[in-house]
Amino acid sequence: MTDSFLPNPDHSPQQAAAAEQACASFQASMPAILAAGEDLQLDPHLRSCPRCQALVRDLEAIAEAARQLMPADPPDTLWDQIQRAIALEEQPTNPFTDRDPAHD
Amino acid sequence: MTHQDTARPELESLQADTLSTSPDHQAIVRAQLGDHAAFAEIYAFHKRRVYSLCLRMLGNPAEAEDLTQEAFLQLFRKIRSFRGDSAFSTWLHRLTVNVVLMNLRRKGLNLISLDEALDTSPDSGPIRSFGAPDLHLNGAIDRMTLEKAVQDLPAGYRMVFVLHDIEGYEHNEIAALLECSVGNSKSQLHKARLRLRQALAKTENREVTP
Repeated sequence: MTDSFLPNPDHSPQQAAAAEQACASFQASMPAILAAGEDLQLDPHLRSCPRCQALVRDLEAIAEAARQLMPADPPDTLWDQIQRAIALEEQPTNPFTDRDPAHD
Repeated sequence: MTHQDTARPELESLQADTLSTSPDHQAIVRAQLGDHAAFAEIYAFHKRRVYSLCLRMLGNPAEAEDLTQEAFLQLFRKIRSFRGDSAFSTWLHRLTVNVVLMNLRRKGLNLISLDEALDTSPDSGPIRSFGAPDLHLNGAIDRMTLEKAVQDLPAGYRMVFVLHDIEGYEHNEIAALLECSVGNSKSQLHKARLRLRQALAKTENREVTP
């Protein structure tokens, strides 16, 4: 998956802070960019920022992994429960026990 | 079952045209005519997909069991209305999604505005994806870890993530199901993936740190 991100050692603390701020700003705007239906890949910050590119790759990897998830088996007892519930539904109504007391 | 006695003639015409593409079409037709054994076959064929969908949407095995039962009960009641306009599996899938959503709405859950508000886990602050290098994922994503992380998502995020990334729904379909805008669905999905990334990275770090 993604290579570990390392800050640029040549950056001064101010430059590092500015870079971090640029990333924060871009990432905060990502939901709005996506909601507007725009192509994230065209964003100028993303095109030049390895850190944000790594983030996007991670998100794509998560989506890909989700597609590979396998369905899980329900408990074996579930079919018996369903059959019982169906049988209950199919029981004919009893004219004596189901009588409307208002008519008595 | 008593459906057999009252089977309408038009059911027979369904057999020929609308159902022939489904792998279990014979069982569907027989179940529509009231055959219990055929309904059991349909259950066996679709149970994993229905249960998994419930489990992932709800994040709770006991509730998933209850709603799987409810979905198959609804199927039992409605199977005669299946006309084959879509694949049976798609129809059943949609029926199941509606059962789950109805259940959540009955509980008063507003499905699309509850993202941050519903997350009561202790480490659930706002999602900060930038900065920390240790947030990046370094290896292949473990299936079990991902399942657990999905289960732990706030309900609004989980719903959109499960429907889109796992079940393959389009944003416009999700928007219709959840009664929200397409943009909202896209934005929720992005936030869900961010939250998952955060959870997966934490797990990776725990595994690396002795």
